[in-house]
Amino acid sequence: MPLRAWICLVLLVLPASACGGGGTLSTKAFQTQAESLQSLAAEGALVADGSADGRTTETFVSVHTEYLGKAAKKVETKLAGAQASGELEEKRKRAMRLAGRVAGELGQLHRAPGDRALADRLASDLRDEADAAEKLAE
Amino acid sequence: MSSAQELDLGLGILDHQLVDSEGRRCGNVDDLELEGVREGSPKVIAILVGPPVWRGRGWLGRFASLFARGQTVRVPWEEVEKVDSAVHLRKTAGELRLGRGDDRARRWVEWIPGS
Amino acid sequence: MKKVLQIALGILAAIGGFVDIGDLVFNVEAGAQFGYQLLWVVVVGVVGIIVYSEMCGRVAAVSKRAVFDAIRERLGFGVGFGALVSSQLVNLMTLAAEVGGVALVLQLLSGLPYRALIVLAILALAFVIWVSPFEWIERIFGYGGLALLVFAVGAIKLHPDWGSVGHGLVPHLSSSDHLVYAYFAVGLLGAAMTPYEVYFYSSGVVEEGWTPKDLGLNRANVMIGYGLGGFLSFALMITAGALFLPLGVEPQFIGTVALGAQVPLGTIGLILALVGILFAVGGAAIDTCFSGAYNLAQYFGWEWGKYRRPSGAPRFTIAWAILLVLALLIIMTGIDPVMLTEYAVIFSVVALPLTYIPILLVANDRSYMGRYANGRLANAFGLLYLVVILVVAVSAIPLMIITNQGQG
Repeated sequence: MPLRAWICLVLLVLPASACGGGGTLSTKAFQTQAESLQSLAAEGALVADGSADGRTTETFVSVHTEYLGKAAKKVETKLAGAQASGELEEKRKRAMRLAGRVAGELGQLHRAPGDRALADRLASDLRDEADAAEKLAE
Repeated sequence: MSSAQELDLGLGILDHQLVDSEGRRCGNVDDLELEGVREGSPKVIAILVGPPVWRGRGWLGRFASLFARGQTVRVPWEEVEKVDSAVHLRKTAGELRLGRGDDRARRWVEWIPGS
Repeated sequence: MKKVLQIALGILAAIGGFVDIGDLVFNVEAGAQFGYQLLWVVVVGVVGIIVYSEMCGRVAAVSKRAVFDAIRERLGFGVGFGALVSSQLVNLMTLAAEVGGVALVLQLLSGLPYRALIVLAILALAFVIWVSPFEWIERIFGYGGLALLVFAVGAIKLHPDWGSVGHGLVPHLSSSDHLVYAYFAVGLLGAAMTPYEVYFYSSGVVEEGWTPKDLGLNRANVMIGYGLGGFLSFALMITAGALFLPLGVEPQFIGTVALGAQVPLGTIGLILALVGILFAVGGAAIDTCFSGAYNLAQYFGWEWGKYRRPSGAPRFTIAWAILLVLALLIIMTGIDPVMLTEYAVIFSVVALPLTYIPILLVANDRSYMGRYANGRLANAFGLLYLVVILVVAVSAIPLMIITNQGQG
């Protein structure tokens, strides 16, 4: 293809791809993010339970909560970059803050995988947050 | 064997594995050289092996032949000892100039301990 | 006595070798989404791979030719080359995913950085391949993979509703999300019937010098080995259904799979699960790597096999080494192994007919097989599964797109 055609193609594609990141949030898309958040928080609670009871290895807790935390951060970023209207906007803001809290708690577990008291506290926090995310997803 | 039977056999061996007299795998039947097609009594007179031969096997064959090195090797039909799931030859691969790709590749591997 | 021991060893190797990263991912995801409803699909898949492998093993034992010999012979140079290219691409994707899986498990066990562990995994695999005789490769990874039996213990300890489990073994449609259900059914079948398993098995039969006298061993190996391997798949799905589904956990990580054993069984469950996954996936990586090399060698007529030693089969040796390097490059890009696995399984399902049909044809060819050609029972099952495979192959990619890889 001639050079001009390539340039036109790039100029068309670039703005389109830039728009892809944000934009309006549909109910379906929000539901997916909220369910994902519930999943990450629930799984984090399971990992924290294991740590609190001393029934797991610190390495596993540290590595796995890092992956979970990164995923929670991605949910937060996705929700932050989108816009909704009316009731959905309210939910979006709550979910975004929830995701931030979940990511933060998972980060704490990642940094202190041997702290059983901390893990015990965070396990019940994460379970509450999973319930909250589930309610938001409905 | 009648020429028709021979031809059936020949076509039946296309794309089959070639095995030399020592049991070594040394290529595939990439194509066949026929004789007497115009006269109406076709006969297989040789097996053809090698990347240049693939060009006669359709456009994918031409495509494949771009990536491979090697020359055509002609194996006269008389060198065929027996045909079952593979084509077994009377002589060794070296004598028939087959399997040279592996001979060339060997120097990349044989210096490593345990090869 | 020797025969019994041989059978036992072969079966053990097969069980451990049955579960690869595709089975881990799809069985756990299916369980977390649909509970026990898809257990019957695992049964269909296990019977399918038994039928397919038995034929491939029989063809190889009788004719000394493996799957890709048959593919070139029946499909010709052109279509055969297409089958070769597509199988190599899928093989490479699968190999990269398995290597990534090994690195992830090593990270969960050691805490060392993921990227460094990828390199370590590749070097370790290359070393094991180079140094070990063929049977020992299978034995090491097969026995290590037996640690996955911990999931069976864990599943029982989670007290699933056994009535629902039983109901799941009976074929039925889902109560909701029919398309997602169909996607997971396709994925489970694909994970159970991955082509590289038969490339490897048939070539392995030639490597171990089997003859028609070993056909009984062939049948015992595939039935008990894959059957018990299917039992492991059950354990994974039941674990996910009992633990993850009620909590709404959507498995995305290898660590999540291990969590399925940690929760009911504590630290020992976790360690056994991780070790089991390590050996199962590591063994699968070697099988996949070799399959790629076997396919190339068989298609082009090169000498092949570990039993020929590297200098006896130089192009074959170079081929598997290059495949490892390519897998290294792919997984180093940071692509998620779990996501790569999902694509690899779906694409391998699409390519499955191209490799299944030639084998079904060859297995029926009396000039090839003599009196060991397919009987009526083998053909009944063979044709039944041809239909299953065609349906699944045609619907795989549309389902993947419509359901957004099962996310609905």
